[in-house]
Amino acid sequence: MDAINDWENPALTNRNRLAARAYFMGYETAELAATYSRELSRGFVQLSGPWRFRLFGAPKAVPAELMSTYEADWDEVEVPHLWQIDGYGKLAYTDEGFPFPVEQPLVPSDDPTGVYQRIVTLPALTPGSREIIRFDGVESYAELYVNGTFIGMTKGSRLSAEFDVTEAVREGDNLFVVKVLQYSDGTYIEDQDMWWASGIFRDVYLMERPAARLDDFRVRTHREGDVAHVTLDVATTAAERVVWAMADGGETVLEVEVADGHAEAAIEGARFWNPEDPHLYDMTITVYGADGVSEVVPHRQGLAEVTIEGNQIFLNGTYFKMHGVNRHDCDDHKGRAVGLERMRRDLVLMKRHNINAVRTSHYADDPRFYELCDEYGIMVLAETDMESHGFENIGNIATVTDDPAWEAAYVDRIERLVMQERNHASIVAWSLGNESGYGCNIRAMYAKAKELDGRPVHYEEDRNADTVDIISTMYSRVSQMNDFGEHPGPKPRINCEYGHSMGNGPGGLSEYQEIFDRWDHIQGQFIWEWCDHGIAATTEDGRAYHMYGGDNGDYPNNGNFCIDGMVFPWQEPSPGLTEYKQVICPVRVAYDAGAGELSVTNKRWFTTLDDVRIAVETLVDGDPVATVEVVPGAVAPGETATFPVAIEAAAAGETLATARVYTVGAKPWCEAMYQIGAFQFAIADNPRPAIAVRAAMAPAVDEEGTALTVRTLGGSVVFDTVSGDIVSWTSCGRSVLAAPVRVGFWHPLVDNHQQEFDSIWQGNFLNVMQTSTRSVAWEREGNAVKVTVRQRIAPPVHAFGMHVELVYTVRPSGRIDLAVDGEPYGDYDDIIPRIGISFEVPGADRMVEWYGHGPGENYPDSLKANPVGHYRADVDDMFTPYVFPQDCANREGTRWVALRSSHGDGLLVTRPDDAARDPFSFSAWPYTCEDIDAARHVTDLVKRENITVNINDKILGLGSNSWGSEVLDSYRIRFERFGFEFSLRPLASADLTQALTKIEEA
Amino acid sequence: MHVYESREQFDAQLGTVKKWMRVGQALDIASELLQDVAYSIGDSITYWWDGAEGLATPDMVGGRRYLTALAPMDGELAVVVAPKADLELTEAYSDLTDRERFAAVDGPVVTVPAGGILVVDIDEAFRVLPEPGSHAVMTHVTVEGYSFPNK
Repeated sequence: MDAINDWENPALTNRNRLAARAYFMGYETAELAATYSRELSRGFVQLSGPWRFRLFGAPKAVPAELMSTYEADWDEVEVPHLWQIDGYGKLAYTDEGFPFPVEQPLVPSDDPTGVYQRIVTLPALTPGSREIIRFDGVESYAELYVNGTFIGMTKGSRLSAEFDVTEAVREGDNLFVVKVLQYSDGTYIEDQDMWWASGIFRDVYLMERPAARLDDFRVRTHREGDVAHVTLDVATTAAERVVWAMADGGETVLEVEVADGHAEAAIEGARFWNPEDPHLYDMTITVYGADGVSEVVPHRQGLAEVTIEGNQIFLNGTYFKMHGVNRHDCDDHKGRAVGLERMRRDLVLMKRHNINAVRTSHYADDPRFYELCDEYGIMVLAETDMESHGFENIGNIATVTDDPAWEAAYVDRIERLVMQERNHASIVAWSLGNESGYGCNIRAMYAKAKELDGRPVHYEEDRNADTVDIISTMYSRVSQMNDFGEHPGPKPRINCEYGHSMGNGPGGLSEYQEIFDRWDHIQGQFIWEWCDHGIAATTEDGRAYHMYGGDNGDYPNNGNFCIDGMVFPWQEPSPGLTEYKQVICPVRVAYDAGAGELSVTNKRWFTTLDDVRIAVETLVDGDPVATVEVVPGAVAPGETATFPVAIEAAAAGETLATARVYTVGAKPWCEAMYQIGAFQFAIADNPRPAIAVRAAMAPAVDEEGTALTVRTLGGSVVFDTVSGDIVSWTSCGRSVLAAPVRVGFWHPLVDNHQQEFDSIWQGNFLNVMQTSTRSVAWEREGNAVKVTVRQRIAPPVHAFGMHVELVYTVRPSGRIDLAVDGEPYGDYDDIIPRIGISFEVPGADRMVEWYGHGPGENYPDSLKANPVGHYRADVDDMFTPYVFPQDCANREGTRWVALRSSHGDGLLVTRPDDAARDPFSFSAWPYTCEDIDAARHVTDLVKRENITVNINDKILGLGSNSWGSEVLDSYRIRFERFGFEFSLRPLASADLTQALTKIEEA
Repeated sequence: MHVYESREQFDAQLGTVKKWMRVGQALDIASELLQDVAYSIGDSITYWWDGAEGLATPDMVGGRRYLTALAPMDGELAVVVAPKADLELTEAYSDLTDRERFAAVDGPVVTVPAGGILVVDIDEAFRVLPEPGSHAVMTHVTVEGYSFPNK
């Protein structure tokens, strides 16, 4: 019988790995401890940095002598890293499919194996001390050798591992060798949706632990009124005395002798931790040995107690909801090897976007991440490193989850997480993992978690929460969440993944939020996901793009399914995150125009609105004319206060009010007067009356061959009498259009419509519909010339389509009013991406000015973050650089839009009548629709000479059906009868007024 | 509207389609679950069981994105089913609930036998009559039937 390899034995989780314990550092003095600097802790030696490295094709291909022989000529890599990102081996991406044949626990014999070597110069150890090495993340299997001695082995890639190397190290140079296998039995339960990549990807360091030392500690808090009853349990070695102290702003609030490893204390008037006031006490545990103070262990301790009463969770006795995100470790240059500052900026971005919770999907994070969550005030659904999703492809996702032979591997993962992180106030609940089915090993994990800590336990695939404490689903639709709301279960509920943020989107977040807010037993939601996983790359000619599955020849792969975050790979917010910020804004503002009252609701859970100011702007036709400041004061959580605010409606024009909500004081995550949300209210719309002008000369008409030329004041329009196209339109000697007006139903595919494309559109060829002009006729009507074009717009192959009539009314001033009517025929009446027109304008006309939703990109089901106003931008800046190019740059609620050169000439589009009552949407790109549809990376896009402009009467909502919610019914548009009108007005100069003034013409 | 007189008939006609298979799964386990508590299977369905009085509504109710399937657990279930087009709208459709409401009508009444299953079409509205003593499983089934793997 073959020997069982350690890396193919799920019953063996480690060799010689030290028992999991709380993450802490020991210091020689209280002064050093007060710095919290890891580098200043006792005997700390940072081993991150350069290591010699060589990649072998298999573990058995690694010569044994390499464990004891330094190879100075090997390559040098910078740890932490993932070796595939550094160009060793093959970077691959799948969502859930294993990249090798499934025969658990066996992995390929040609298992890529990296060997790391480093010479570490150490001083002599103090007698009685222990030298401990700590790895915070090695994927997926690691053996450690020091000076040729085998020290131990660990699995569990994203969990810390410590080894005692005391007996192997010596004063002077020491050879540390780490052998890392890409795949192990652990890989079968580390099948998260992310790059397949491996190596020492988190910090590795040495610590000297003194003879008299703290081995572990645990702090628990129980709240009674304003009193925190705090309990400390410690495990020590050779300690003569242990003193526990807590201080607040330098003032000692408790100092207690620890007896028999246990101490209790009460803090009167305690300031409890919560995400809105993440107050941390400076705690120290001082260990005395025979010679006095041996070490001081500091910890920033929040006072927090999580309890469940009925079907609700409470933090320190207060009800709350989690408005969260799922976060993978992502860095576009380092993959999962994220540095501290990237983590910090992630949390800063979350706070700046009103997010108060994070799910560490789907593994434990760097221990410092939890410290940052304590510090910034982000509640954590702390998930451990476990996902066996790939077994779904062989018919039973729970294949190993329900196999007792794997129990040790499962339990090990939750035990190590809880033991290490249970002192963090920010952790609201533990999570056993993700998408692994349900079975005996989940029950065993739950039992271990509850044995170690009392906080609630979550696991989504215990679908009815037979075992765990929180009922959880993922991607449940809005109305399904409402079903859950109306028919509550006996336990609290969350939606642990929704709002799949792949590419452009998600849409429909505000409807979700209404339901989440409506039902108290639904206590939170977590967007999928925080950041795109794209890896930075450059083309041969030096242009930057981001890679996804398949870009490295990896097969099978799941393409750009990993480009599904609210944050771009370069760590900037996407439009989706901006929308989420508004949807979960913790201050809600409403306005009763009749009563002249502004109502302000505090949707925070723990703190008042003392820090909030609201600026209420009055806008007339999009421009601010007045501002009133409202100071809500100490409005308590959940309470609403009303304030008299008179907003005067303009006698002529559209009046809107925009209430901008600011937090006044600077915080670690925001500057003073930071805007946390904005709400808009319609006040009045008093259309300006049309101005009668002296009758202008009727356009002259010439018909020559297939050219129909209509001459107007200062310009001319030429129609092709065969195609019906405007082949030339000049005004004041400049071209107004660069390509004709076409009616269209298609826009570049967005990821969130991929399901619809696959199942409805592609087979019906909606993306390649053909326009056939059946007739072109013209006539005079008063002083105008009317050109009527009848077309059929239909896909190949099928017997359905749209009969369309375009009526161009050319006015004496040169304006063209276009009326379009469509009558479908055939049997297709399902959804379509849009109903509108497209054309091109000269490339010089790339300055865009509009009155509508903005300033950012928005769509019908994703526009809460973009109030109506008067905005300016240029076409290039309006193009959102999604990693996978797709439709973008749309602006809803448009009353008018002008595309102009820097001198002001160009084209203005509006409705012929009051556009405020019938706004439209537009987008403008430096590319064509076909360019965008064909592109797979931004580097595939080459700017065109002209600008493509899309003016849409209706556009389909985004939804989030790249994985999840289809477009909600209210945002669906169908291939059915339609009619709309636009007015196209040439601009001769920077004077927009002449084009916007309502003139009675002809 | 479709009335399947028995589970066997339902399975024979719909049992190969994932979302309808999930309805079958829900019916199999519903009686072991808590009364009037909504559960779900995948992205396809939500379901709960209750007495006819609990499932009854004073008005006619219809969905647009979710079909309703009703399966009596014991006794017969009387349900009024009518085309939406024939009804007077009293509450506009809401994306939040996937519901639109119509003025109550008294017929036609469909009697679903114990063990049978009624599927209300998407262009119909219904109301369960509050006949005492019977219980049923209410299932909301996505109208989607495309390629998406979890529907």
